[in-house]
Amino acid sequence: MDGFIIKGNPVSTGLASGTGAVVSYDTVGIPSGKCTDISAELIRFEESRRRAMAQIEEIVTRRGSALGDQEKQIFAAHLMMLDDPEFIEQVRGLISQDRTNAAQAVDITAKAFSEIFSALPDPYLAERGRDVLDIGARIVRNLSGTSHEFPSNTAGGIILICRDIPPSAVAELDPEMVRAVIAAEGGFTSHAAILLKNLEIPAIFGLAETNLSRLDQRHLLVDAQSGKIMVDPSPAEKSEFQQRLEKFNLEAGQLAQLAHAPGCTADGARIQLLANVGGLQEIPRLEKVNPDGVGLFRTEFLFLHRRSAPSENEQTEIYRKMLEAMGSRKTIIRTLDIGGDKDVPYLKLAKEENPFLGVRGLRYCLQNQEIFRTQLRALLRASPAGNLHIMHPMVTTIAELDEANGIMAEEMAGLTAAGVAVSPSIKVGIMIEVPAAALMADVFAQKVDFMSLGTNDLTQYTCACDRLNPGVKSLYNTCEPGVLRLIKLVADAAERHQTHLSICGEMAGQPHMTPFFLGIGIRNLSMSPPLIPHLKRRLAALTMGACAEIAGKVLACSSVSEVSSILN
Amino acid sequence: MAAIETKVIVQNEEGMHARPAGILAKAASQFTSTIELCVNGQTKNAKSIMGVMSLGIKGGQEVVIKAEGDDAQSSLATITRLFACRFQDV
Repeated sequence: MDGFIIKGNPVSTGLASGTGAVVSYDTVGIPSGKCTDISAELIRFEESRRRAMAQIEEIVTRRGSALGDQEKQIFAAHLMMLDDPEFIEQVRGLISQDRTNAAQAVDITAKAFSEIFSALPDPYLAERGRDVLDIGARIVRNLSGTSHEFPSNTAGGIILICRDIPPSAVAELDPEMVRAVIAAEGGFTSHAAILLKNLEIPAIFGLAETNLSRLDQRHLLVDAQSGKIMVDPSPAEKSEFQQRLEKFNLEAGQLAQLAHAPGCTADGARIQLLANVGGLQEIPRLEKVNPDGVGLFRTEFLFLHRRSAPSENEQTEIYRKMLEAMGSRKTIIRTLDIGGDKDVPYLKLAKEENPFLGVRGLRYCLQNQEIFRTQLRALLRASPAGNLHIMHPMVTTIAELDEANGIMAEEMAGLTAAGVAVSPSIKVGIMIEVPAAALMADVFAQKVDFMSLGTNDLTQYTCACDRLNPGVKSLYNTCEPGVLRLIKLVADAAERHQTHLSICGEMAGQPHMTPFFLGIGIRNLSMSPPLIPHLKRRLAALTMGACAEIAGKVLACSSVSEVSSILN
Repeated sequence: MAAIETKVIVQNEEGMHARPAGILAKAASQFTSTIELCVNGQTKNAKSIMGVMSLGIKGGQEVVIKAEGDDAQSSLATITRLFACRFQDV
C-alpha cells in the first residue's frame, strides 16, 4: 500500500518514529444492567474512587517537576472532585435508589456535572467540564479493571493516537515507550500540550484527519516541527528521516549536556548567561537550563488582567519565591514597567498621543508613588530570601535615579524601624534604554551597582522609529551602526567605573551578535531561557581575541548591511 | 437552631476558579455545620468544589453564605476571611 501524509498543529516539538496505536480515553463499554447487591456495588464504587485518588496522587509525586503551577492546580482539583461530597452522594443515590450499576452511575453523574460546567459563560470554568469527565472515566476504568492496552510489541516505540487526551493520561505516559502523541482534537495551550512539552514528548494535535483507525498498527514518522505525519513511508523516506532524527537527538543531547556546563569561550573567559523571566511558572524551565541568575524578572504580569493592584503581601510572596529559586545567584527584578500603551483600568494610565514618549516605567512610578512604594516594600521584605538586584526601567535623568533612591531609602528606614528584616546587600541598578541615559552612562555608572541595556527600546528611541509601525520598519534595526556605537559608549563607561553591565534585550540571545558584545567587554547576557544552551555552544566556538577584532570591524561599519556581512 | 447568613463580594479577579473553589470547599469541610453558597437564586453546598465551581461566580459578584449548625458562627467567620483575602494568604 502507498504511503500518505496527514497534517496537524505541532504542540510539542521533536521528531519520532514508531508504530501507530489507537487508544480511546472516552468512556466506552459501560454496562447497562442493574446491580443485584446494592451494598457490594457501593463498596465497588468506593474502592474505585479511592484507587482513582491514589493514581492522581501518584502522578503528582512522580511528575512533580514536570508539572507547572497550573497543572498542579488541576490535579489538586481532580483530587478534590474525586472526594466531592455532592458527587459521591449523587452516585450513591443512583446505586442505592435505582439499582444503577456503579459504572453507569458514575458516568451519568460526571456527564451531568460536565454539562453544567460546559454551559457556563466563563471559558475557564466551561473547560473544567473535561476534568469532570476525566475523573469519571478514571473511576469507570478502575471499575471495569481495564487500563489502556498498548500493543504487546513496543520495541520500536509506539505513536499514541487518540481523539483527545486528558492531562492526567499524559502524565501517566512512559516516554520510553510512547515516542509521540497524535490527537485529533486539543489545542496548543491545553494542559495536555503543556505537559507533553515539559515531558519532551513530541505531539501533534488538531489533525486534518478524522478516520484515526487507518493509522492503527501502521509505521509512522512524526515530524512535530512542521506538523507532518508520514504514514507507511518508503525506504528512502525512512532513511532520510532517520538521519534527521539522529541529528536532532545528537543536538538535543549536546544542548542538555551543556545545560550544566558553565558558559565559557574557547579560551576560557567566563560569560554569565542569565534568564529573562515573566512569571513564577517559568521556574521549572529555568532548572533545566541552569542559568547563572535572572537578568530580568518582569513584574508587569503581576499587575495585568486584574481589578486592583496586587497587595504588598501578594507581591512579597512572589518575589520571595523567585529569589528562593535562584538562591545565591543574582536575581534582577525590574520595578513596574508600564505606560499608556497598556490598558490597566485601575492604574489610571492617561491616554497619550504618543505613549512610547510618555509616562512609562520609572516616570509612572515616580508620579504614582503609592504603587511604587508598595512594590519597593514588597521587594525589600522579600530580599533576605536571595540575591536581590532591583532595576528601574526607562530612566532618563540622574535626578530621576536620585528621587527613586530617596524613596527607597525612606521605605527601607520605615521597615527597619518596624523591625522587618531586610538584606544588607541589595543591589540597585537601572536599565539603559533612553539615549540620554546612554550618553550619561559614565555618571550613572558611578551611582548604581549595575546597568542593563534594553536594546529594543534603545533602538526605537535612537532611530526615532516606533517599532510597531510598519511604515518605519526598515529603519528599526538593532544592528544600526548608530545603535551599536551607543552600546559601545555604555560598555566603555561601565568598564571605566567597574560597574556590572548586562544586556537583556532580544539581541542578547542572538548568537551572531555574541562576538560583538564580548569584543566590547560585555560579560553578562540575559535571554529567554531556552536560548541559553544555544548561547553556551556559541561561546565555546569563540575566542576573546577574535571577538575584539570582530567588534573593531563592526564599529567601523557605516551601514546595517556591512555590519551583517561581518557578523554572519 | 436557626441558620445564619452573611454577604460577601468576590474580590479575586478571576472569580471562583478551581484554586479558590478548592480552598473554600476544604475550609468549609472542617466544620460540622451545613454551609451553602447562594448566587442568583441558586444554592450549592460550599463543601463541594464542583458545586461551588458550577455556580460560575465571577469577580465582583455578591455571594450569600448560609450556615446552620453548632459551629455556624465560626464557619462564617473563617469563610468571610477567605473571601476578604482573595483566597491568597492561606
